[in-house]
Amino acid sequence: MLDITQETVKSLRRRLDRREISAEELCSAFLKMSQAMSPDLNALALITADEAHSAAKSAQTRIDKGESDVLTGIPAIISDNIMTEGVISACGSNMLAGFVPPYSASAVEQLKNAGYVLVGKATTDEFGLGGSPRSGIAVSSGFAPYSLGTDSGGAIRRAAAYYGLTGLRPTFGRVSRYGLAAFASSFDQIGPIAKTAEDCAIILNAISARDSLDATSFGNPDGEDFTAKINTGVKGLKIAVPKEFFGDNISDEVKSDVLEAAKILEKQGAVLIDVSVKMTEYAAQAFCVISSAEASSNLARYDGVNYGLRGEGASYAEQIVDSRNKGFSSETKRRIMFGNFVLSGENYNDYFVKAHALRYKIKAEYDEIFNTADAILTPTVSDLSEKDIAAKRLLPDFCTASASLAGLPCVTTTCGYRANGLPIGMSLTGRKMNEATILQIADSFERNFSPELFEVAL
Amino acid sequence: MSTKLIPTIGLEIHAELLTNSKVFCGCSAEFGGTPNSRCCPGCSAFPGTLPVLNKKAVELIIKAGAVMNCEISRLTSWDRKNYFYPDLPKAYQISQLNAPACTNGCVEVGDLEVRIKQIHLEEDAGKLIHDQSPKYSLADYNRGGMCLIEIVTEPDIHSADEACAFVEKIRAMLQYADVCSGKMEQGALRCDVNISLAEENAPLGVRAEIKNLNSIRSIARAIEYEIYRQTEAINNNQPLVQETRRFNDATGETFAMRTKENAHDYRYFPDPDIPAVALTDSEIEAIFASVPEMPEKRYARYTGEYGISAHEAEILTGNKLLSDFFEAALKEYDNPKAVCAFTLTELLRRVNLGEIELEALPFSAADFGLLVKYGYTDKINRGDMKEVLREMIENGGSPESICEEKGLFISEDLSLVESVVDEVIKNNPNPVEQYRAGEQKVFGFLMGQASKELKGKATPAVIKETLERKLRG
Repeated sequence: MLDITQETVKSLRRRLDRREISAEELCSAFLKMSQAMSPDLNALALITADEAHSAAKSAQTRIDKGESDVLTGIPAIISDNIMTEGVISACGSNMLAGFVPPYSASAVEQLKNAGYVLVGKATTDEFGLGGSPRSGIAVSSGFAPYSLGTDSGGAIRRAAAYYGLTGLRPTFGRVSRYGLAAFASSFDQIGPIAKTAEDCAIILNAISARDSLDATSFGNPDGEDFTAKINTGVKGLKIAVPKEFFGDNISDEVKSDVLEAAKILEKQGAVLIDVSVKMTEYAAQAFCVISSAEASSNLARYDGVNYGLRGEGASYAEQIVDSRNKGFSSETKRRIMFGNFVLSGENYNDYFVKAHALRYKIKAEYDEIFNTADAILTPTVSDLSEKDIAAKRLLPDFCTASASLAGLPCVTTTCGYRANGLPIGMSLTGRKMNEATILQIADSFERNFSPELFEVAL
Repeated sequence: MSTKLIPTIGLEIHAELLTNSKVFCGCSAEFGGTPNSRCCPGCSAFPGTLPVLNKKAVELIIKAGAVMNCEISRLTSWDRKNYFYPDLPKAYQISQLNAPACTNGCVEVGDLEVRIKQIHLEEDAGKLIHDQSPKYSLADYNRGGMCLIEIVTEPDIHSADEACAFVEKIRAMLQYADVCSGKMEQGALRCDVNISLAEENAPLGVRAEIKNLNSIRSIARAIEYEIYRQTEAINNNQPLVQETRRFNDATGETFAMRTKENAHDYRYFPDPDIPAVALTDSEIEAIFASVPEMPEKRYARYTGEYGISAHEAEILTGNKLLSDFFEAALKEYDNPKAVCAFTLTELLRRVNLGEIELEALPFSAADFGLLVKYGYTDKINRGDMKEVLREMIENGGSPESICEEKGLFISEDLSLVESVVDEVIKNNPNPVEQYRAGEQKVFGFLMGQASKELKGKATPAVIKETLERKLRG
């Protein structure tokens, strides 16, 4: 038998349903991995062993009654900037050290209803600002078969790329943002990080819903099954390859592996189209301006008055300065300062307004491509040396910012390995609300590239 | 030497909307309550919570726009106004900068025409309490997130009287439209005054903004003080600065709060959490159609159709509750002059004495109308109406049961009147002789004797007629 901590959600579901393993055994296996390895990896902010055991027990009861849902009894890790009722959700910040929310994010609420088993909270950059790929560690290390992460400028996709996983940023509005501590409101999305596109589809089915608590959410109005096109191949699908993503800004290794992947998809029956997205080079800058502006406002609520870290001082002004000084990291402070700068009266038109204009241009360019194409294939990380990145003044989300700006769904899956053995990811961006097609393409590629993930030991 | 200076005044009126819940969460929007009992993670700005717009608030602001003859935006959107203050948990106020719901309106007050620049929606802040300790302040967030509209006028007002008349008019209109309770004492209507002085036809002078005036009286006093202060400064060649000032109710003076030089940069930007609201013509028409009759229309009906005097009609329509009460009483007894008279004398007298409140009268308008009907159709003596009303206030009960109990109903028994009058004539031979000899003034004495005996059993008219007939012999 394979190590079950390396199996997919789909496969674990079968094992649970066939009574090859109990929910409690599954839970124990993942907890054991978490407890053994997390301290070294600094991957988990918190391990919720007691809660996990009791959730696993109720899940097993549900399975035994024949009332199980597709995620019943399946362990999960939730990023720490997503609120979990009664469980510390500190958002990676001193400001919220020990903060226990009296409510759960709506996406978490849905997993709860499905009978999920929370193993722990994944560490995050402070309020998700750095967009680090950390939430991938928990899944690649076998702490849970999937995690819920957050993606503003590309964190979920980078997590998948760095750790050889599959991560989906859903269409903006597909998953409720209620309970996700806001970083950049017009970009933030909760999405799954798992081992396969099929697992991502299963999880999206569970967490996409219109939510009366998030006015920008539309959920799944057509009651679509996102797994419907899984394992149906890619015959006839048109995949656009924009040249701006295959220039000097991307390492040769990444370029050749992604283009190689394109050829494999072509062999599977897809049609490749060469396209151009001229605004690509400005995407990360536009994202940086708008997201920092929104962050400066979103993080202003952390003033130590009603909750969170309260500093000292003789007056309100002194106290709030001290609270925020002690509560935020220097990187977060830099972002807040930058956000305030671009929103200030004298700079608003030069930065904020221009960044918005770019956002609409990029959106229009993508819309144009989707008149003919079904998906756009790009690398996920540029993977240049630190020296090159500094010289080119590249921002880390060069490859991922465009989909964020356009609010489009984007899935990253593994398409190769570097000489040093580390994974390389590719991203497929889809039409608005068309996750099913990009998941279909990623799935088709994965079945060829990582067949072992689809073998279920009996 | 002093020159003739003309004040120019623009107002910003904040009115709390009559919604059941707050503007961006489900908390109760009722006034008061135990401190911090009407807040949730949303209006307390807990991490990850999001604002969801109360649709009723949009309906009410459009109603306000309708009564002030505004243009209504087909697409109305929300912006964040960023600033730190402990009464504002999110550290930004959701407001409308770029696309306010209503623009370009106009309100007439007598001969004065005041242009309305815009009406926009925003959320109220919490309340800070500073007088409990020298070491700390307390915060009550019950008011935080209540729906507020801000009505911004053009600088079309030129005196304290005009400003007060305008605010009174706006208050009545908002009350009539069921948009705002108008209760200034509860802070449901507050006013900021922008005022500057300049010679006629000269460019506008340096303006001061007086914040947060919460009674008509303080609006008048603050404006009068500012006219005095700015006149003094100009006449003494002292420079005025553009600044924000507060009014001190105790001294009747205004004092500087902060100068505009240090004004905040609020870093406004469109709120990404709240989608813009698109309204169709038919939705706007439906809201316009739901606006009830405004005070000036009622005034016209009262003075025209009902024949009530201008002064009385003004008092009745000046307060929607009073006017509504009056109209409900008319449903019971359709005699506007009679109902108006008793309303303005007895009812208002008792309201002014503080015995009763219009908001919570201990009797119905129908019972009040019935009482007036009894008095004016000779079911009881008119002089007894006051006593019945007092009973209704003090001990409750319907006019019918009270009149019954106190024996106030006038009997229709004419034979009783005849016999009582006969008796009076028989027992008072001297006055009767005097009357018959032409001394008319003793009639009053005889009338009194008969009335005493017939108290509540006959109208004065019947007694008088019978007595005169019998005296003539």
